[in-house]
Amino acid sequence: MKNNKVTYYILIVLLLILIGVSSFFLIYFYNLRGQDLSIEEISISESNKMSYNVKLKDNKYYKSNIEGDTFVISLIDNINTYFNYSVAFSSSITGEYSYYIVGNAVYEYNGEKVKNEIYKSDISKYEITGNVINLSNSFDINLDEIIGDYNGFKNDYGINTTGYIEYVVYINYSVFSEQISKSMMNSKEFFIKIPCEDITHITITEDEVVNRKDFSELNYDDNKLYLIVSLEFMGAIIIFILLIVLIIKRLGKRETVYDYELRLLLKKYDEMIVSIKDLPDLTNYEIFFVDTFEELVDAANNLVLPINFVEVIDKKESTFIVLHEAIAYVYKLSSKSIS
Amino acid sequence: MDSKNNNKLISSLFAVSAVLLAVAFVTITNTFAYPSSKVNTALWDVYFTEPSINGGDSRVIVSNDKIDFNVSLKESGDEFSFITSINNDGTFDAKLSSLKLTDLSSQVVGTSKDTGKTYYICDYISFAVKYSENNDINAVNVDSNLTVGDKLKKNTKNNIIVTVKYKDLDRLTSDQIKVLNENVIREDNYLVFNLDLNISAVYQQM
Repeated sequence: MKNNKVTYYILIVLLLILIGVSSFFLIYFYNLRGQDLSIEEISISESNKMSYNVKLKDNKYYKSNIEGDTFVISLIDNINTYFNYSVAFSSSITGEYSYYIVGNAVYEYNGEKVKNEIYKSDISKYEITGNVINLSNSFDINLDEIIGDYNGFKNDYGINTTGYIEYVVYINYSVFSEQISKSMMNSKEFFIKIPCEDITHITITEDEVVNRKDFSELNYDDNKLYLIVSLEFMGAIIIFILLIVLIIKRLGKRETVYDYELRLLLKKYDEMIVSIKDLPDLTNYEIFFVDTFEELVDAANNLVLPINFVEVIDKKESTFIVLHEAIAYVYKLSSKSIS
Repeated sequence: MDSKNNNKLISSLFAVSAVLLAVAFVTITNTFAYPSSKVNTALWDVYFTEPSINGGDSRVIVSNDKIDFNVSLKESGDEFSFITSINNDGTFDAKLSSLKLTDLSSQVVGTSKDTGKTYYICDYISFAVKYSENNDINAVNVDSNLTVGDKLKKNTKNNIIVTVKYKDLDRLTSDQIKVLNENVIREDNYLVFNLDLNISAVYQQM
């Protein structure tokens, strides 16, 4: 009995630990609902740079746009234009990027606008697997030749003609990120614009660095799973509590002397004892009470009869009877008499 | 309730709770995407630094990963050089994917009337871009040429020397010297080469 008690106490401690652990997970997963932890993100850093160098006629040296952007247009021989576009992703992507360059001469006269395409490059395409798109290139604008065409146009359409030369770099990328399970696309345009004026003021796209993030789609399915897991832990906690209650109840049950004696008798004389439902009608019997159960056993053995047993008052009184013809041998076991 | 039934109930409840916990833990480990780890910053930043110029009549302009320069070399033996470095301040290792130098072998100086041979600027001018220092991390050695595939790991730099030299006369043939005299314009009695040169070194992620 002592061993059973120790086992039960150990079980209670174990169950309390399990309740603690399960409660922690119940609260943890319940609080995860609605927090969108399934959202993945990718950070993107985009930068673009543009510059040009002007080579003047009869001059040995380039002049960089850093030093000034105003020139006598008739003295410009060549403009070498440089662009760089780089995109860095925080996790690997796959896809492609491309660029092409278009040059236009735009003339305006009498409120009308005429746009002539003077240059178009082939589309250059590249594939990317990794984290970085880095695109660098340069191209020459042979301004001497272009301005010659403009001057011809101006001669035809009058002195009020204005215009500008514009070269535009068109860049596109289309990539897929496994991190956020999403395609990303972007396009950029870089331009250099040279007004066709005697003193021209060249403008280019300004350098820029943009940092941004992109995210995976919200996953609401996980919310349902969090709830299911929380309910599972809650179910486990309820069962653990029930178990503790049962164990405590069992531990709380104390065996009385009456219980003990009864249990012993039932165990020892199990083969001879017949448990009956109700006390038989002994009105027509001559009743002989015996002092000890052993005497009843002797009687049963001598008469070769079973001992009938009925607990007339639960946990308090039991009656053992051997019936033979009109005689009843009776032994009473009661809590009062034992104590 | 007798003890046998009681024990059966306790055992059954234990079994049910064990199953519930097992299902919960399997669901946790197999189903959920764990919260994503901290997102790393991403930055690509590879560039030439401003040069340190050694003599010569010149102009050097650096634009990110391109260098344009004009140089005048007056006479044979003249040399112009400058030192710069290519830096990687980004978060990714890089490798040289494209290296373009002005092609001096396509720019004609003149054709010999005697031999009919055509000479180009590269016959008179040498143009080299080399590493000026060892870098063990990037496995580059001093005096070696920049080559496609060269490494430039993050937070490192490779020091570079660019040299343009007017070849010594004793390295030119008489025919070459004759063509030089016939075709190159004299400035103050010098046979001057005014050169527009550029270097483009494009790196990609390693």
